Amino acid sequence: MTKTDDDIDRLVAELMDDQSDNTAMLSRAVLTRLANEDRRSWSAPVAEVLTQPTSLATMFGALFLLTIWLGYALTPGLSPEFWQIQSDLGTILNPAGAK
Amino acid sequence: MHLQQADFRDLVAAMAAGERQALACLITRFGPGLRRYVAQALQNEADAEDLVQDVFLKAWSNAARYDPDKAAVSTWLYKIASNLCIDRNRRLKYRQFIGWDTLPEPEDESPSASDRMDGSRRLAEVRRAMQELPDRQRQAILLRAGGELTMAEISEVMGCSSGAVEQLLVRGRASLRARLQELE
Repeated sequence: MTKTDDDIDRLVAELMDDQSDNTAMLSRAVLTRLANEDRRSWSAPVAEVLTQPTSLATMFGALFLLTIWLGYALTPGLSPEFWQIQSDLGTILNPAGAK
Repeated sequence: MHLQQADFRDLVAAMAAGERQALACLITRFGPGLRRYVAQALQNEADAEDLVQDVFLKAWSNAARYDPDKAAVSTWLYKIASNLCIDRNRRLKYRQFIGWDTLPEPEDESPSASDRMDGSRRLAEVRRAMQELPDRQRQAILLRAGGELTMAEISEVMGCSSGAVEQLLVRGRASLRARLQELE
């Protein structure tokens, strides 16, 4: 039997009515999430400022200082060939500057 | 209690002022309809409950920006729901494409004679036929069948003219009719 538009709409409405209608639970879930988000939004930026940038900055600073120290400590110990190679590379890569 | 559109606008204004009781009233009025719509509009029904909650959380955070001259509260809420469903479905398709999510198991296409008499089986067929519709057609049919929005409001939610919505309804119903007749 051919279904009319009304039949189709009725079937779809029936399908949609198949869902439970517990608005109390929905309401409670939304308000709980809202309360949690409020709590997090108040404390999260403070926690982030106190932990994230500090630890990252400390790590960056330590690595930076280590690199400088290694640079100064190792430079005198390099062989003359190293400086020769560096000079040759500079000439090859930048011939205009070598003139 | 039967609230009018003006009362709903007052509720949104109260939400903007931080009154949670107003949000609870809005959930009581529009929660069931939105849940029904979202459960069918999403390709993954398990996400429906979360998404309806997201709709009201978004409404809460955007309440101050709600303009009553632009849209009725129902239209505004359904538009939020509709956009979230589109985003969620798009993300799901992407995840399935790159293999993070598995495709749902195809249901048995050949119901037995006794199954056909069963109401839940028939609803499963309608559900499957709905899922096969193009997104826009499915959205139009669901918004219409929900019975909470007028044609003008549906066109506003979908961002197109009433004529375009009519066209989507005609094509969607025709596809559903053909598909259901195939299954009978």
